[in-house]
Amino acid sequence: MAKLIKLDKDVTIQIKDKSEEYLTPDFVYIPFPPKKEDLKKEVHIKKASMLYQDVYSPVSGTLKSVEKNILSNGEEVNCLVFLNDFQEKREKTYATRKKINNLSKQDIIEGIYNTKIKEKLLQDGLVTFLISGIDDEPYIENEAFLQREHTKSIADTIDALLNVYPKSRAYIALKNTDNKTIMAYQNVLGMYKNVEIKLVEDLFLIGKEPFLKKYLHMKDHDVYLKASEVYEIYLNLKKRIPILEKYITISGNGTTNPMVVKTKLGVKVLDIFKKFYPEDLGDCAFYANGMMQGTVLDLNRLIVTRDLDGIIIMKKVKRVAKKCIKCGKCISICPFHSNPLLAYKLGMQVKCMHCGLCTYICPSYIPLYQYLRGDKRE
Amino acid sequence: MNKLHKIISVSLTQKLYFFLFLFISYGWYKNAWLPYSNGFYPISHLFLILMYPVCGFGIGLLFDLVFKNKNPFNNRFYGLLFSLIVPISTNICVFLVSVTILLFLNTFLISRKDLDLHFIVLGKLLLVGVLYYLQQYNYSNLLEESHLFVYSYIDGIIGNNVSAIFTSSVLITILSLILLCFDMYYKKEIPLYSYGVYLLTLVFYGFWKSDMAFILNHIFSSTVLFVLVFLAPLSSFSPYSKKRIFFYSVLLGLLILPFSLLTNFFEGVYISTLLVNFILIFLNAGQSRFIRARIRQK
Repeated sequence: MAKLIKLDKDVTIQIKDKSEEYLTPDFVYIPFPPKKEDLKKEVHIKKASMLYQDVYSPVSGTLKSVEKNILSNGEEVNCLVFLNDFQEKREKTYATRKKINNLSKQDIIEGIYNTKIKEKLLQDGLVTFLISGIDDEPYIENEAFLQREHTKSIADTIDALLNVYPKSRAYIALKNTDNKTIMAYQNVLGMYKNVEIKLVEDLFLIGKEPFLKKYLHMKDHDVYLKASEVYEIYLNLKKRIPILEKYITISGNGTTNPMVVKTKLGVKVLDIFKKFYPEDLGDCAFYANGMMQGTVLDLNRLIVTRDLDGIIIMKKVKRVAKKCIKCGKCISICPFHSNPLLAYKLGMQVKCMHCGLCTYICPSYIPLYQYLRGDKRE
Repeated sequence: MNKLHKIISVSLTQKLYFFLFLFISYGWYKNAWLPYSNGFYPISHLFLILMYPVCGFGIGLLFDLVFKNKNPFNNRFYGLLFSLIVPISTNICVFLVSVTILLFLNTFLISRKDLDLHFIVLGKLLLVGVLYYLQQYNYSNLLEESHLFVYSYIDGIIGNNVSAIFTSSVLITILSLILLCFDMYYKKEIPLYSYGVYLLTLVFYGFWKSDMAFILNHIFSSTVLFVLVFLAPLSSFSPYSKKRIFFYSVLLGLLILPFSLLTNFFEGVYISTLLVNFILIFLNAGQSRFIRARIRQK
């Protein structure tokens, strides 16, 4: 794998210290399930009721219509539109658990809603947990905010996990530039033995599983979880509800008020913007999920899903793509040493994780990511 | 942004222009000012010699304006670069015709078809052929031809040696290489590997022939160094994958000495560069054909 690099960032983009909330939307939009037979034809839904696998209703309300919207990857999908009745009624209300560090392994596995997380925890024997509290994408700080606001909950959950895997250890990986999160953990972690903080350099992609494991010399079978996944386990076990809310970052040089917003899943991004950015943002480009790994999308139809991490608003800069000068930087910087020029020139499919580094480094401003995604041919 | 960062962020082409300007300045001093001050040339020669880079750049600029070329490595850059490597005996009219033909070739064939053909090296060799035919082949200025003095070893390193019109300064070449190595878009591996291999072959040959003077005379050959630092790594005509860069550089380093011995040290390095460039073209064409066939099969 290639050596990771530090990205140049605009230091003037500073996100507000406290997160904002948008938890009472009038409508929520739930994408259709991948399999048609999973589609429930219920008109009334209750909060946290399962709509299909790993998708739960974020509000209680009634089905109003079906509408075409777009996901963070640009895919156009049909969505069920629910009108929120603001009653927050649940099918069955469970009492919040007082403690979670006395649960058995079976209780934990059964209590987790998300199947992907469940699979990760099915290991036996000695387990090393690697908790990534790193936001890779520049100007996106969801993980950092979540950890700062729920430090104790995350630490409690890690402790509960360590109790069911005897002699296990947990490492929380944080960027050495993220002082506020480091401080937040330092105030809490003294009570938890076997949990350590590992500081890593501020490099792009360092938070991704293979790179972080390699950087910290960890083994392939060590369990990797994101801090947001640990918090999800906390909600599942302690409050016995699935994840229904999400942090998203809205920042970039196109706004004077960058912030992190806690919002319900299924909310239209446009509704969030109407509340927090009523003013006209001018001639800007909106990148869903960041400038490096994200895509420029139409905000009017974009909905908040688990995959959406943020919207980066950048002032439009006129850059005309020039002819490739064959400098080869895109190849040397690629984490897989793939050749993006083969996709650019010949339309060949190459191994790609869509990190956007080739486009970032290209001196000719060729949008290589578009060629790699198959959106464009030379 | 601090001062150092500003210097680093200057584009590769801007840096190359700056170094070419240094070469032109030194070449003017060596090939115009020194002979003029010794009474070998009239005062008009001080301006005439500058016509080569001015015309090379000017014709390139004209091509770029007419054909709207906005690429970083454009015709004006190539025109200027070509004007530096011609022999001093080149007639200005012959030079003008050859620059125009070369840039025409670049605009309508090499650039359009995305060929990797190193047309500057090819142009230089063709020009040398023409000069040879016209019996104008000569790299020495009148002062050097007069044999009133003999260049010392230190002279050679500073830049007082017989070479193309503006490429004689070894010191500027080495300085340029050091500074260019800090540019992320400069293929520094090519000059470093190929010069390393060239040195090895030179030392091996010198020991074999028991001729230490030969090694010392050619270890800092200004022509070889200039080609390795400025012409061989030009990104449009050189490979971009790590393995190919290694192969290209090693092969280039290996071929310089044999071709220089077969011809001379002014042209040997150009012939080997062109040969390695041809191999690269065939490799690229083969790879493209193979990939296209595979895509079609799918």
